[in-house]
Amino acid sequence: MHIYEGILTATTGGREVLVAGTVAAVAGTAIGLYQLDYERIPRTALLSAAFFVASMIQIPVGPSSVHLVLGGLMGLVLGWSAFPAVLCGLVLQAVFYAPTGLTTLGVNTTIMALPAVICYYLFRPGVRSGRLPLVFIAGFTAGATAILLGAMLSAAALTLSGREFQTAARVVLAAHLPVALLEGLVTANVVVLVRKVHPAVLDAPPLAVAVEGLGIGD
Amino acid sequence: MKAEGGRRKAEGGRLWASTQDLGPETRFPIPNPQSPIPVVLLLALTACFPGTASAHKLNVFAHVEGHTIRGNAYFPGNVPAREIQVTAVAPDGRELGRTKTDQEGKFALDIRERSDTKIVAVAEDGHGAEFTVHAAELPEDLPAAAPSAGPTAGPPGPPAAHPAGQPSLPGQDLPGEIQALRAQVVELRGQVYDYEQRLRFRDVLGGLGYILGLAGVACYLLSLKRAGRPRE
Repeated sequence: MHIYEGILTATTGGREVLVAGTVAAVAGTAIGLYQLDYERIPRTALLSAAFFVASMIQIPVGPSSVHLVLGGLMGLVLGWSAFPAVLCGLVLQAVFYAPTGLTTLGVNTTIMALPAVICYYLFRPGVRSGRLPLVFIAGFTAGATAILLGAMLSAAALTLSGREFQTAARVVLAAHLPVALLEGLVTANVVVLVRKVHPAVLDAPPLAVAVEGLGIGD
Repeated sequence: MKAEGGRRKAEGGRLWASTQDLGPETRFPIPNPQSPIPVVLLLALTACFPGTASAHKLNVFAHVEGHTIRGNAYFPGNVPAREIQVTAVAPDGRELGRTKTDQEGKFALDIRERSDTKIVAVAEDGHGAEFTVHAAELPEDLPAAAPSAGPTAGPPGPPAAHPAGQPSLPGQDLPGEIQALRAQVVELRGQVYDYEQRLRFRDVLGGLGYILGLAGVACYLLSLKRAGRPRE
């Protein structure tokens, strides 16, 4: 989901994308930092660390390899604080590995963090529901949607910098479909787990109590 | 329920409870309530594969053969990057040549001038990679820079400026042994490049340390803000 520096700096449209992405990233990070209080700092750092590590672990799928982004999970748990979490992870990647260069930092942050925030608003109610299947489905959809939205943003950025949208969208979406599935499964399981073990992370009542209360498993 | 409670107590030391413990609805492993936050587990799990960590995506490597720059583009795990665009760029930003990789991710570009040449590979999905072939590696019989370069963009330096100690590599008329030696050096350089591109475990650990430190700084700043208020 990274966009390479040279593509965007080459055309006027690409430079506009760079500026717009940077502005969006700065605004999102400002909101995220403003909302950061004592209780949120550790979980923001934890998810930022998970993002940093997960996005560097390549899992071979078919002829190529994919990696997790955890955008949906970050969105569900952190809301707007996903912006500073993503930015932090990307800065560290740039420092240690320099995959993209620093000018694209804003665009790439927006591509990954904005879908996370959208998922926060779309799926947070579902994830906080008391019914396990609903929690699972909301978690899965959030994980997959974050990836697909990110891929669409990526394709849009490529289009604005002078590439044909259909080609860009097809290539980017095809590359991210397996990631979206994998990410959906991981997010759904983690969310169900969190609801049972540590529901305060999602500001929701514990799920396990509700299940036991129904007498299932006696 | 009583019996189950007793069973759970007995297996308190186990991290993962079996799925039957929690009813038929749950088909995935559920940790015992005593276990740490699941994200920590996920983190630990992902950190278990430092050997396979090889961010990020596209790599490109090039070497000189006679008057041609040859190279290959590949994804982590030596997966060839097929039919992607490869461009040679002069130090002043002029495009020197353009081609596409073949089915094995290989490409070849003719050289027309002797200057630091940046090889840029860009995949359809927006990933890209660069590799620089230095002027000293290029044959000495080439012009320093094309005349169209103009006075604004200074060429990296006339060929004479390079130290005379650099062996000249005319290419074809070398004896077979030296040719073989060159092939080995090229392969070795490819391996060194690959090794440099590989992400190492200490980098991951360093990154985690930075995040921990940043969280500490954030907590400290918030505590300064709170210090003004009376304690509850």
